[in-house]
Amino acid sequence: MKAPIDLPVYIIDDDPAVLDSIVMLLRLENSAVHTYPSGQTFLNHFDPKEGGCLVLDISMPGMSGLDLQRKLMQLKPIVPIIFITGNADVPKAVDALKNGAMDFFEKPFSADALLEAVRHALRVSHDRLHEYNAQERSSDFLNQLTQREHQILKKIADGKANKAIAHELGISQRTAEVHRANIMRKAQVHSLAELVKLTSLKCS
Amino acid sequence: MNQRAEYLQAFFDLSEVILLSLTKSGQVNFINPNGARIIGWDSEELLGLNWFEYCVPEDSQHNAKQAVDWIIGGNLTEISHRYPVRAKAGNRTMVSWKSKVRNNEHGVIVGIYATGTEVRYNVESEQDEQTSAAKYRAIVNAAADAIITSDAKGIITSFNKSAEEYFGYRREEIIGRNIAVLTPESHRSQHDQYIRNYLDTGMKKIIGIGREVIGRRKDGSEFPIELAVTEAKVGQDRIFAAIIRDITERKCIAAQLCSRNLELQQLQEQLFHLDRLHIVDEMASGVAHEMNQPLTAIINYASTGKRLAEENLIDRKGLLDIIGRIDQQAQRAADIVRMLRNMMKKRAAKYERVNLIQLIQNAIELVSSLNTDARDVSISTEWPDTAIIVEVDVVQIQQVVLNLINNSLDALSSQAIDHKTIDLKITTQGNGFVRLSIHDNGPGVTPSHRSRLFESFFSTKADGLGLGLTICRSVAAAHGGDIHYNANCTNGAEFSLDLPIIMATT
Repeated sequence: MKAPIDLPVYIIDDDPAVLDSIVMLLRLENSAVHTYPSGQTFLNHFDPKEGGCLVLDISMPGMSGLDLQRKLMQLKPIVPIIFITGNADVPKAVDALKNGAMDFFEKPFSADALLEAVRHALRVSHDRLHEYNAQERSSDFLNQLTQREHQILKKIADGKANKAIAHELGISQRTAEVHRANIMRKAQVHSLAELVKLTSLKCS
Repeated sequence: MNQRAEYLQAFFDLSEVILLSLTKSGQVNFINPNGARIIGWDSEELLGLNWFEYCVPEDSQHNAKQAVDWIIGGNLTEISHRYPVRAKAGNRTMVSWKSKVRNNEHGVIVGIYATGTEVRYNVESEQDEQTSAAKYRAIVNAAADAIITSDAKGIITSFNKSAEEYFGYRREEIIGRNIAVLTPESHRSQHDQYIRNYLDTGMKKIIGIGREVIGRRKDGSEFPIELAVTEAKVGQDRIFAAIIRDITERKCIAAQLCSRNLELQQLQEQLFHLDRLHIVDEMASGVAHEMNQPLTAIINYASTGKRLAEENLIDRKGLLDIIGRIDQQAQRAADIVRMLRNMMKKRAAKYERVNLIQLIQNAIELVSSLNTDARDVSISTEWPDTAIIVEVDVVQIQQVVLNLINNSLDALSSQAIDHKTIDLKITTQGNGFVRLSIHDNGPGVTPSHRSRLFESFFSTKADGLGLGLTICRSVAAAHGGDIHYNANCTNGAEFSLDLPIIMATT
């Protein structure tokens, strides 16, 4: 078992006792456990850039768990959803899983199983978040580049040396060297390999 | 003198009476023409003929002759008697006679004078007279009821055939005994007292009044009887006639009717029970959901407590806190089970005075927590400020309300509208009734279905039993109320339950 990843867990259930007991259980392993009595209150507070996982009651008055899931799908799905339900409603379960739910528990469920599912979901979230952050960095970096720098970056990525680049673009080797240094500074990387990796994220 | 002869002749011609003179041997030596005509003869024709042979039916000749001989024998000078005459054509006429001896100038009896007047319906009344006693006996004997007569002291003087059959005594052995032997030991002293009381005071305890009492047979067995006693006076004596009917069978039928009623009642209770089960069934997924909430909480609390204790991360206070939460949720689960058990329990009706508003609020809570369809529906209520006291079987009326709300929820669940509503409203009617109206903004009831709403086994639901509203109506009726569909409602459906109100208090 890997060490628990401390990302926030959001619990949404209309039953106060269920909510309370899950909070108590999850606090064994997670410091940030947040509860919401309805899908709407969650949406009002939720920051889509943050990671974490969602433990969600499928049938609630007003916005149901499935409604909330559909709304979250329009945002970037960094937050995996674990559904819990009071009655085994197969069509609803199928819907939920088709729409990318990570897990589906029928109440009453094993506390260990929920804990394990939350751990797994947080790892997934962590990975997604990392990926997401890398992508963000990549696009931030590319946005900072001038048109000339874009041209030079493309040739660097193709494996060309400064001399070849200067020659192809009709600039001095010294100018090409300055451009390369600026690109490395903007990418906040120290090696060519790192630079190529950052660039390829965006292009892939 | 002439005048007198003229009168006599006139009356003689006018008289419709037989005027007859007979010799000692019975020969006719005079008969008036009118009298002869009554029996279809000419007066001349009869002269010299034996009266008895020609003019009296054979079966009466002896009697008639005897009476006449009685006079001729000198015992009496004059008698009144009856015997029939036979007309020439053969028909019989009863005649009432007055006969008198006829002496010659020497005072020797030579015959009789007789005057006879026709007696209307004489043949029948003659037969009556002869047979009425026998007829009476025959009727009394043939009667299906036991007829027993006794004297003023209670000594049995007659005992008919049915009485023999009822009581197992033969007439010979019972006549002369006290009528009290026909009553159970425990009543005997009372019986004598009854008679004595009546004779002393004239107060009727049983005379002329039909009573159900117990009879006792010769073999000691007892059986229910209906007893009517009549009193008659014969000369100075009082006699009592008891007419007794064996009502064992009637009692039996009454008992059967009673048990049939009981069966019907049980059947109806079973029906209520079935309907309640149906409600439970309809709410089954809701019940499972409701039950799973506390169980989920209990499992989570317990696992948390266990983990914390294993890792020595919890003190006594923390453990107690968790156990308290577990306890609370276990109670919640127990309450659900209790409520379910109450719903499914077979029970007899129990009427009590309750506040209708409270009763309906409880029903709404029940529906809200058990029927998941209720989550999307806003249920609003409009109550009077006063408590509405009704005398009802709480479970049955709650069942009616549950039925109506569930029906509305069913109707709404298929609707794609945003604001699903059910409005409950209590209004007191001027006529001593209170009305609960349940309105929903669903599709309403199609006019063609309205008349069949309360029919048994009529349902518009795919899985409906078609008994819900039927049972609702019978429950309402059993409470002296009614339930109906409001046809004037244009937006959705509205049902009204009317119940007699006991009082409205603040």
